[in-house]
Amino acid sequence: MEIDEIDVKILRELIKDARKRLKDIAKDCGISSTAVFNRIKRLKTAGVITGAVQYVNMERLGYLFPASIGISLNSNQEPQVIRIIKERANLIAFAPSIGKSDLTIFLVAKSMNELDYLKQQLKKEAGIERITIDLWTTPCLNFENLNLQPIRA
Amino acid sequence: MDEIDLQIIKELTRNPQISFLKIAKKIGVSPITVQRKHTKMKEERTLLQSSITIDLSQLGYNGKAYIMITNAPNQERTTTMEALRQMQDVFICTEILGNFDLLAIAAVKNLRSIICLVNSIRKIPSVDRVEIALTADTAFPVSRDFNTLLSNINECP
Repeated sequence: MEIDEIDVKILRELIKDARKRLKDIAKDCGISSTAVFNRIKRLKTAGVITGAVQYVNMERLGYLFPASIGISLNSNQEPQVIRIIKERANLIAFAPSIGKSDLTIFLVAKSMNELDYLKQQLKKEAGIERITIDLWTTPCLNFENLNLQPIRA
Repeated sequence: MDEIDLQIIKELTRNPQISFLKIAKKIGVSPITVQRKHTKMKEERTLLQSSITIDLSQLGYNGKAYIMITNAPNQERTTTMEALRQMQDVFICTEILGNFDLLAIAAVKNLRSIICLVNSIRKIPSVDRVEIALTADTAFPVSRDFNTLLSNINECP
């Protein structure tokens, strides 16, 4: 799909603030609100825009420990591991990776015990040998650094 | 934070673009109350930004890099953080308590951009070592519906 400079500007505005009003975006882009609406619709249909998130300070809700977990595993272990981590309600994301670890999990825990319990569970039930848990002490979201560029078809 | 604040948070996390009017109707308070509480929670930084999620694959990106950074001895992590916060395509960074000192997450286009990125980070004077893990997942910023996580939260500390 072709994505031009105006599409990029719209994406940048919505990444900064998903609640920004259409008419304010329209003013910044120099086009009509209808045009902005249609472009957003097109970006959604094409699967470029996949949703929206309201970021919340998790600490205020008792989730004090954002963490990433790196797991080294073999293909036999993967289904077990996926099952164990999917059972968890406070999972943010997980993705297979190559390099330092084979599976990287992001979650936010209420307590250290919870993280420790997860680690023990993975070791005992899935036979994982190498798990590293790293606590995020100062998370910073810098979405504006994403250097989106127009794409010619 | 009271029960109404929590309800507002739940509605916003379920649908970040929902209008205050709709929230007010759903939870049975006036729109003015919703607006007031929303403003207060934003000022207090209980509510942070709201943001769209996108698939980067149509924007020329092919994955993400998780960059694990070890600082040089006697160097401040804040120095490295400052550099990371300004780095192109690095959209999350944090100091870490664990096996290394900082983590940066960046969107990457190809091998060249990965090498470029790692070299830029290595060039930061306070940085000693860099390790990476790469994923082909192009969901920005994360690969799972974060809203589901937040909607499941039903208690205050």
